[in-house]
Amino acid sequence: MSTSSRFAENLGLLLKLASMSGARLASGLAVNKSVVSRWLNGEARPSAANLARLTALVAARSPGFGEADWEREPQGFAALFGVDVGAREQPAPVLPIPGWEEMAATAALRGAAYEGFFRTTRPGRSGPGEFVHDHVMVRRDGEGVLRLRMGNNGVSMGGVLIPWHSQIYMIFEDAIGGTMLFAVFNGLGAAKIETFDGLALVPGFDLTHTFALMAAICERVGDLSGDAEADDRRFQALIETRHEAAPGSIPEALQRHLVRDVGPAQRALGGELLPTMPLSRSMTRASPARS
Amino acid sequence: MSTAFSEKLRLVLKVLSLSGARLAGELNVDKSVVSRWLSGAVQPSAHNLSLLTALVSARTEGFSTLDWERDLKGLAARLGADPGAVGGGAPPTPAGLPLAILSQAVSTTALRGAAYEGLFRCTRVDPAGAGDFLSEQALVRRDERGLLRLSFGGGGLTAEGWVIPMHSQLYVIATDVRSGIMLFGVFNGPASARADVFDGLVLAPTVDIGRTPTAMPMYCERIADLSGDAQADERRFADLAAGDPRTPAAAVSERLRKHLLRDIGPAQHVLGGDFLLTMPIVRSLARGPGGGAPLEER
Repeated sequence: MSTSSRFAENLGLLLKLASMSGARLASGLAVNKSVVSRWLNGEARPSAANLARLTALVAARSPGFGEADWEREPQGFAALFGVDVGAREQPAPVLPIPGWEEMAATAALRGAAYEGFFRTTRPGRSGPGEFVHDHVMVRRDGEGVLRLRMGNNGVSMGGVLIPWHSQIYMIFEDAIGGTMLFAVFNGLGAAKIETFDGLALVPGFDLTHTFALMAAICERVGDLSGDAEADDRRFQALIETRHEAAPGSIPEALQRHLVRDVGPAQRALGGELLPTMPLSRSMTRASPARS
Repeated sequence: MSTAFSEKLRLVLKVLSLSGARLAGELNVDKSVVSRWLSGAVQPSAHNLSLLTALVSARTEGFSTLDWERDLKGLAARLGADPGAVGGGAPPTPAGLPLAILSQAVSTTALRGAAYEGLFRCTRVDPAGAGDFLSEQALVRRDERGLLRLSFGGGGLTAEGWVIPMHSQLYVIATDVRSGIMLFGVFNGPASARADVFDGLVLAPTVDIGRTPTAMPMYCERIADLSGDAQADERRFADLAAGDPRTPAAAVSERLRKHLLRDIGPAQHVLGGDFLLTMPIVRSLARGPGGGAPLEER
């Protein structure tokens, strides 16, 4: 942490503790409001004269406070005023998304339909005939968010599944590798999803993570046991080995479903212009409601 | 996750046996203001928060603005209520998409984010047209959290979201505010001080009734830098986005047409073409200043 950002954090803490606004501090020190806001956002540190006046202001209320105290770590700084900042909440990093509240409410309501273990089938990168299976675990966390884990060959990514309108959106992230994976699948408002398919933007293992668009299908291979640790172990066991589809193990119909010719030449022949996964040929299906 | 201010305020009112209307009266603000705080629609201004804090401290010795940052149980304890009595019931709703990668994204954005700020024109195949194209607008600027905020729009779309730079990629997550569909993108980000062109792949359901998951390449070209006046930039973006995005194929250069519209699949692979839709760096047109000739001249 740079010294100006530490100063900024400590000053911010102090103002909150005194329930004082930056504007009031500015008028107390007879400086411009913009000066105080630059201190508070870490863009600038006070001049020696202003620091001395600021310190005197604090010392008037808190005897013994000196200029050196501004250099303390925020926790130690707060302790000077009898405050334990450990008790403050550390907000988890979240990305604000328009409509997120409704999405989260949908996940909380319908999320059970998506929980479980799934096996994916998707084309390999090298060419026709080769397919890969990943394994996915879907489980709601304490806040009702559908958390994803997907892995293959000992490598896994975490993510979030968002059932929203008639789609299933999946966002995976690999914080260590610094990559993400996006997927848009066809969903169903049903009791328990068995199979769902769609398109995914998948990073490559090359140096520049070349992304490829591929069609993929997820088939349920099991339900959650209710014992989170046992489920974690099961997931680990599923992803330990490299899962490539054995030659000939993928039925012709599924191969044609996942691997297609598209583009202007196909369009001229009556085919499709772009990679799509329309609901009309989607293999998404659910089992009827259980009693 | 952090507890919403609205929940904390509800707790405070409950503990102090105050109604929202009475609070409004004591603070001398309109009742509707307090109800918007309670619904979570808005947060109190710094001035009102200090008035509110003063009101609580009159009943709870030493209560300060900092105490609002406690979690719900901590706040209950601070007010002398039973912490066990809160936190039950419905789980709190997280404020947004939880992403572990975000802190990394914030530091990458601090380093490289300025390169991607600006107003861009983005071209892609029209999924509803027979080989025609769409030209849409993207406004990218850093917000107060240090993330790159994206507004993306054309005739059919008004999307709001984020550009997340990581390694050599730019990841895009956006939501169309009218239809609610989510749009994803992965772009090649030129490693230069200023991105003039970036291209990549986008994936989203179509906006039509079928909502068909569809993917395609997209090519974005800078048309202006940020002016320094955020409202002026947003007006300019809105004006451009209000135009008709449909662009006939004839108005797109042949090279760009070929870049955006490709034959792919197993039959192509046999002919030596692409098996899957990709946008490898070697084929990318992404560039910064001096990073290559404009597309039309290559």
